[in-house]
This record gives sequence, structure tokens and C-alpha cells, in this order.
Amino acid sequence: MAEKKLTFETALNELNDIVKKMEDEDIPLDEALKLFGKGIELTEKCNKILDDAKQKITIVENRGNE
Amino acid sequence: MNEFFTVTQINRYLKNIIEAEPFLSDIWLRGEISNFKPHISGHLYLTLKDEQSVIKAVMFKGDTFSLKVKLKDGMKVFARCRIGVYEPGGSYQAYVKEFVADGIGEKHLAFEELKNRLEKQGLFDASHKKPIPEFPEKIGVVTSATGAAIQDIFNVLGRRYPIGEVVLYPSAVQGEGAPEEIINGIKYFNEECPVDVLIVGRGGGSIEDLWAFNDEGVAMAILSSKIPVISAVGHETDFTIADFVASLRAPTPSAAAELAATPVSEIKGNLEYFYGKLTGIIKEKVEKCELKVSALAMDKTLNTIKNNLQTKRLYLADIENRLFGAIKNKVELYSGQLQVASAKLDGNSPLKIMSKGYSAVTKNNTLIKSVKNVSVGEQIDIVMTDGTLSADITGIKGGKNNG
Repeated sequence: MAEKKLTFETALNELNDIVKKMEDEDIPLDEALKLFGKGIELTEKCNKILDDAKQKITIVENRGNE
Repeated sequence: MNEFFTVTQINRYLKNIIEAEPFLSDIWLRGEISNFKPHISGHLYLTLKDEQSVIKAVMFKGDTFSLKVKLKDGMKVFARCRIGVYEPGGSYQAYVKEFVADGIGEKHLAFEELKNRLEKQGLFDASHKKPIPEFPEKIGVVTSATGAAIQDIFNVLGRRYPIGEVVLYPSAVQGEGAPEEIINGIKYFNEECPVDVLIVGRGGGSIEDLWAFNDEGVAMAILSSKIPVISAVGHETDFTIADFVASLRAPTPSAAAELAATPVSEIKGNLEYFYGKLTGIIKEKVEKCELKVSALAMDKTLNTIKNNLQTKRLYLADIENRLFGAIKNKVELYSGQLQVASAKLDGNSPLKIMSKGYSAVTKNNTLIKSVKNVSVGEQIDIVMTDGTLSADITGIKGGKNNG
């Protein structure tokens, strides 16, 4: 389940990197388009996780406490 | 013996002296209750004592309604009173208007001592505080399973951060056994069930209710926790020791839940920001390229080259036309000449002549053009267009005799 944590932290960092790369004047158009595609894919993945989320609650069994 | 006085007079005298003293009209006494005797009348009779002395005291019924604490022997109290004299009894006593429990006093001293000690050891320093993760997968909570605190935490996290799993370790949060249970809870999350952040706390209450969170063992457990701890002792103004040693302090359990994770709305906001940036940048880039292409299309140099090419093509086409034209003319000319020559040839063709009725005469396959070349009786062939005649010459006319 380290996946979810990695997804958000990594995803947002990756998106940041992608935007930085794309802002570079010298980047050729086809590479910018590739990055664009990757970035859109990331945002859609993340949005889906957020939209599908349902809270999970666990209560630890009483361990002889009063 | 000179003058003498009655007992009453002397007691009266003492009363006047004592009750005239302003200082004695309103003071706070600190002592322990003993010989506590509530009377049927509603008045409370007691003795206040310290290590060495006692003083009688009474609280009249009228003043008892303000009592917040239940008085009993052994109880340490502060008593606001005036010192007066009960003439008939020949005694002075404290007439108490107000009692305040003194338990807090001792507790507070212990609290201050612990707080100072830990602070001097540097245990409140920022260096001991661990950063709270932005996107915890699991959030641990040590608090009571009943009560508003845990419900608030579930609700706030359910609303703001449903992607995180919440794990509750139920624990007493007040009373004798509370510190041990709280410590066990913190240990549990550190050793058996790792989580990314811990909320330790309870809802609001009196200072006594919160006292478990001033326990030294609890403070140590929080300090040695590898997992960052958010303290959530529901007391707006005062800080408990737990608040000082925690990585983060929240004034209430709800606030703790808010601090424990990045709200989904904010994450979505970030995603939207990036989406906007991505589409914006790509649009810009494409537009720039389109402009470049347009500019190139309009570029003079390119157009000149284009025009030159066009001109040369036209020229080429023109030359092609003229070439073909010239060749065609020549061919026609020669063809015409050929036809004339051919007609001429045809006109002079012996076959043509023969078709007019003339024949060719041969003798031994040699063409005879003159009568001189034959004699009577010789055999000749007469060649016609469709065959040959064999003939013998029977007579000759002309020759030398041609006139």
C-alpha cells in the first residue's frame, strides 16, 4: 500500500518537474507533447484515486485495558 | 486587688480589639480540614490545621451555596475568612465565606517542576519534533473509544482526507490507569502497527481531567516515539506537558485531524493548477510553432525562391512547346517533301506506265528498247503487269527507215 503514498507525493513532484521541463524554451515540440501526455495521465490518475476514496477505520482490539 | 472585670467584659474587649483590626477582616487561610461537623442547621463547623497549630472555623449556611467542592476531613483547602471572636465561648475562630480546593496547588507545583526539568534538558526543542507527513497512508489515534473526540477525528478525516486509513487504539484518558494505557497505545503504534502520524489526546475537561497528559511517562513515550505525534488535549488555553513534547500541538481533536493530513481539496487544487499549466504551456508552444510556420510562409526569401522556380518552370514549359513545335514543323515539312517525291516516283513507276497499256519487251531477260536489237524469227518476252507473253517476231517496222 506504499503505492498510494508514492502516487501523491511522487505524482505532484513529477508534475512539477514536467512543468519545469516544458517551460524550457529550447525543448522541441514533440518532446513537449510527450511530457504533456504524461502529465495529463498523472493528473487523471490522481483525481480518480481521490474521487474513489472511501475512509477506512480500524479499531484495535482491547488489550486487557479497562 | 484593685479593679476587676467580668468574663463577659474581657471577652467583649478582646472581640473589639480583634474585630477592629482590618487585616483580620478578610484573609485567605491555607490548611487541612479536620473535625468536620455539618450541623442540622445547615452551618458547617470544622477545624483548620497545619503541621503545628489549629484554628476553629465555621461556615454559615448562607455561604455554603457557593461551595464547589465537597468538604471532608483531610482535605487541603484555601479558606477565605474573617477572624472573629465568639464571646460566649471565649474563643476566636475563622468565619469562612469561601473554600477553594488546594489539591491543584500541589499538582501545579509538580507540573511546574516537571516542565522546567524537561525544558532544561532541551526536550521541548524543535530538534525533537519530527515533520508531519503531507500524505499519510495510516493515521493512528490514542484516545477514548467513547466520547466526542474520536468521533470528531473520524468525521474531520472522513471529510477532508478519506484516502488515509484511521486506526484507533482505545485508551482511558483520565483517572489512575490512563497514563499507562496512553503509553501502551503509543508503544503499539511504534512497535506493532506502524502508522505515518499519531494523534494523542482527548476532549475538553477540567484541569484534573486532563492530568494524565502531564504524566512524565506519557511525555517520555511521546518523545521517544519514532512516529510524529500531534497532541490534541482539548483545552484551549493551557498547555499540558504532552503539548510541549509533541511534534505538533493542536488545541482540539478536530484541529489535530486537520493538521494530520493535506485536505483532498488542496490536493485537487494542486492537480488543477498543474493541469492548467500543462495545457497552457502546450497551447502556447503550438501557437508559437504555427506563427513560425506562417512567418516562414510569408518570408520574402522563400517567396523569391518560389517565384524563381515558378518562372523557370514556365520558361521550361515554353521551351518544350517551342521545341516540339519546331520538330513538328520539320517533320511535316519532310513528310510533305516525302509525299511529293513519292508521288513523282510513283508517276514514273514502270508498273504505272505498264498499267496504262504499255509493256516491256525482253530478250533473254534483257530489256529491249529498240527494234534494232532484234531480228525476225527471234523469241521475245512481252512483260505485262499481270504476266508475261512469249512471242516470235514475225516482222519489224521502223529502225533505219525511221523518218
